[in-house]
Amino acid sequence: MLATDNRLAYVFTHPEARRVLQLLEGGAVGSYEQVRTSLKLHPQEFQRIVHRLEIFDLVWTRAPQGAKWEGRRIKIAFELSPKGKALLDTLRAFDPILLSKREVLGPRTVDPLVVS
Amino acid sequence: MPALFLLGPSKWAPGHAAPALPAWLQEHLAGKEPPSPLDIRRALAARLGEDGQRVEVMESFPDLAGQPKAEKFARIIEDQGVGRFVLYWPFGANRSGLDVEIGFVLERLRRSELQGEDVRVLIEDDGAKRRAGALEVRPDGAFGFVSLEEGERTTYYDDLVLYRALIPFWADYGELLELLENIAGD
Repeated sequence: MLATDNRLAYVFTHPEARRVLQLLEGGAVGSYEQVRTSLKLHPQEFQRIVHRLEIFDLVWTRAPQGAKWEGRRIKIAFELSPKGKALLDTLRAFDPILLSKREVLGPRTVDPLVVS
Repeated sequence: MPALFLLGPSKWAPGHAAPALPAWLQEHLAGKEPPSPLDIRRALAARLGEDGQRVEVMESFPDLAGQPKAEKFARIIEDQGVGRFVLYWPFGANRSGLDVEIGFVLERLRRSELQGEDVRVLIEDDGAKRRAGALEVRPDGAFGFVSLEEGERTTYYDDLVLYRALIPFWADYGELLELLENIAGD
């Protein structure tokens, strides 16, 4: 249950979610091209991860500043929430500890959890 | 932590009804069958209240004689310490009467008394039959939001989106509860 109920545990154990948060740390993302070039994720896979991160209040979805309606549609962008930023900072603080124990814990355990 | 104001419709549109609801929600419906969107909002508030989270539903407060709705709205915000607004947007609801409440929120956004992140429009999208709105990748590669209940009085919901309210989606009532817990409980 911890992996699904706890946002820190979820991102810690899902490196692709951490990569999405790191992408958004560089600024709001409003085009799939940014996702494709940065993460090489299929749009549906990206949206699936973003949806989960949104449920955890780590990512916010909203219209960019100055957006206008285009018929029934509006451009939106994904952005890192303050909680998302705090969580990333927390995970980064873990990295040196994990790396310092890599030899003992083993690379198969440590490497997937340290996302550069 | 400021209280959460859970706004939303009170009735289903003709031909629509609630989907099958989970047991944890039914426990709080006080035997209301079939439940209206208002019953569901009250049940969600009660469920969250069990965990000590303060979630207010406007209709649960009495109307004072001669008091305008705008006064009631403002009184609840002040008396209950409301700081965040959540608009429940289920598929197939009758939205007449809700425009006024959304207008109160829109006016506060327009005056910058609220920021977009203080308001969330929780949009039902199960990816199949219950789709109030959806996210899409447009042909030009941009991500877009599309309202899928055209002609169902969603204009003012859409205006909230334009004022940069957050628009999380939920596929079922388990996800909706999780969303509300993560908004109200932290």
